Amino acid sequence: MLWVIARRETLTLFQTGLVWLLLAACSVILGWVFLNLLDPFVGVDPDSLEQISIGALNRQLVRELFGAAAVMLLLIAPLLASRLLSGELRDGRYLLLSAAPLSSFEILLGKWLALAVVLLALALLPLLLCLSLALGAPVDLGLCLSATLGLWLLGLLFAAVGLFAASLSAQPAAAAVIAYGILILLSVINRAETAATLSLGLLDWLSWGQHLFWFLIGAVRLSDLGYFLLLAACFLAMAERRLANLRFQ
Amino acid sequence: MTITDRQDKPAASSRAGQLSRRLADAVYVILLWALVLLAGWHLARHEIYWDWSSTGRNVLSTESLEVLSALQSPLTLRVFVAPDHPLVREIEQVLMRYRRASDKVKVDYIDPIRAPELAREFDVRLLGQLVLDYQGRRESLARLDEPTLTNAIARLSQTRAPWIALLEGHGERSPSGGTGRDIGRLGQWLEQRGFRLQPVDLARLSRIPTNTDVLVLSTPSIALFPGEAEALIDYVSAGGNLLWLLDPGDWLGFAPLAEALGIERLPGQIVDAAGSAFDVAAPNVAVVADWPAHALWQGLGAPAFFPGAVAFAPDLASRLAPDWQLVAELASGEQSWNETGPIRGKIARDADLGEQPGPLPFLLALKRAVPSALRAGGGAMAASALAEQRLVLVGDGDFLSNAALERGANRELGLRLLRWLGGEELMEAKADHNDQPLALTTGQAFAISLFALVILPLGFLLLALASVWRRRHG
Repeated sequence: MLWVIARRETLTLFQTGLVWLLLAACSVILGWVFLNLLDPFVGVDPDSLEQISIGALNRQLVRELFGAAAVMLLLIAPLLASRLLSGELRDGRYLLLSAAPLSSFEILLGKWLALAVVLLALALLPLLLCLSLALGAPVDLGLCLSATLGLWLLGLLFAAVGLFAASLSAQPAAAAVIAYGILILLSVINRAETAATLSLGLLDWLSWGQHLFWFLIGAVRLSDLGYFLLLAACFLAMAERRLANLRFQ
Repeated sequence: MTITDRQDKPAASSRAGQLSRRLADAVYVILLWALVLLAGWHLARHEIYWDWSSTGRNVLSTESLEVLSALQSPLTLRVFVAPDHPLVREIEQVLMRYRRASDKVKVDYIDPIRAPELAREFDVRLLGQLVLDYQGRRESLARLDEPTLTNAIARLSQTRAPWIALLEGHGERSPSGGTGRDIGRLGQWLEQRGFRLQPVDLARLSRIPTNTDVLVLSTPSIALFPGEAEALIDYVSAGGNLLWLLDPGDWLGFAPLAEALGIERLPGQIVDAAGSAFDVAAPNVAVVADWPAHALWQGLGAPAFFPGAVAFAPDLASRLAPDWQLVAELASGEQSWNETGPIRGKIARDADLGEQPGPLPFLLALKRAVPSALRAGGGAMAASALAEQRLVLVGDGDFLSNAALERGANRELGLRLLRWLGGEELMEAKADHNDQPLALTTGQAFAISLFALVILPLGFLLLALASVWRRRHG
């Protein structure tokens, strides 16, 4: 049943054309960022270029391009999530769905998986752009893959936060605003002016920027994988609790 | 906010039920977060990771691992930068590998603004400056990459302070003198860095002490006696390390030593037109600005200046005494030659007088394996415990003199040479095939732009239109 829901939600997202439009918009913006980064290297004499090497370019490219994509995920994931869940809560479609022999956990996970598919498509955009560079320069494929993985995991976390926010409100707009609030808090929490070093470690751990960074330099750390999956699971569990409560009301 | 308000039950019991449910929810959320944080903390304590980048930038080389495994006690790395500064990430990229490789490595990030007295104590000049602290010995690094850091750790973990013997008694450059020709400032500077300096007068001692790590020879003003040259040859054949600062002019009694090593000099001194680019007024200053690729001078950014240097024969490597190998050399520029006449007015190269065109080698680093007979027997030098004997010949003694020490990279180069002679192992920078510059042809750039800005977005747009069309008509 989980797969049925996941499939249905994925198809809905793709068939409405919304996802394709989003992908088109994102590819234009990312393409622009990408070409701007490459601009200094076009049509110049290789001998006069000594300031940046291919290795350094690969690192810079990955950092800037995937960084821009992360910001887009931050904007898009809550919107899609609120559309998937808040909308249904508002129209009462969710009540119909919950009347089916399905646990709220299965419904939620199905929707999350559907979002995972869509966000994977978005996360693959920078990789596509980097691969197109393989025409003219050796691309560090491992680095790009690790960055793509990091980006996708980030998307999964954002989707979980979006679903949790959507479970709080039947108004998609309100849900999106709540999700943005939580995500922005998670983005800047490590900048909090806390003098105590102990709490700094915790706040540092909670902010996603630190964890994405390691993926962007090609180091896939178990602790970062753990961060994304644990936090995503945590928000999903809170959303599930919320939906389960609705059912018993 | 409640989503559906279906209040079928009496109000009072519903309120109590709501309250207990709220309480249960709160406990659930608290327990959930506690679980997540504990699991996350547990994972963060174990640094397990996989390096996916093709350049292998996130793993340490075997040389570095060897150096780290030799650590006996904790090594503290103090980084003077605020912990939330963006620079920390760059620094942490390098330090993480060391921390992961050895539990002896501790890293402290110190905000120099919050701890100014500490910054003063460690003589911090740069943001992000790194101070290594190992068993009370300290070393400060201004740049950070793997070879630099590994070499610094290797230096710190050497417990003994190298003995440097300086030959004197014939009017050599004096380690305590203050004239422009002397090397007093170098001596002071070396002592601050843990070297121990010891003048040696062969008129009083019959031979060079066996605990000498490096012997420094500079050009005397009176010639050596034959017996003294003999003692020097004995020192070298017993496996001693040598820094020999030559100057143009006569051998002054050193000829037997040069002969024993197989060294030949070209007549005259080097004149180098490249010097004018660095505001050098005199034409007889050899300048090294493009450092050749070798660990000995890796990271030296500034040029080094060698006033009045004598050149070695260009095919010297083939004439060296048996076993000696050329490790590295520095040579003068393309526009140089060895001028035999006086440096006055307009000078030009005259091939008839044996003046050869540049580049001419004037600094040689040599090594040989210490003969096994020496290592087994008693007569060997203490330094030959290295299993490798090292020799640096410089065609110019002035570059370390008080007058020229502070110019360009001279002082740093002198320190590098002495450290290498004293037994420091050098870590070569990894040759990185990715370190070529990138240049795209206009055609390639056009293809990439077309793909990124037109084909890709347009493709998605068409798919969007197709899906809408199918929903309407399909």
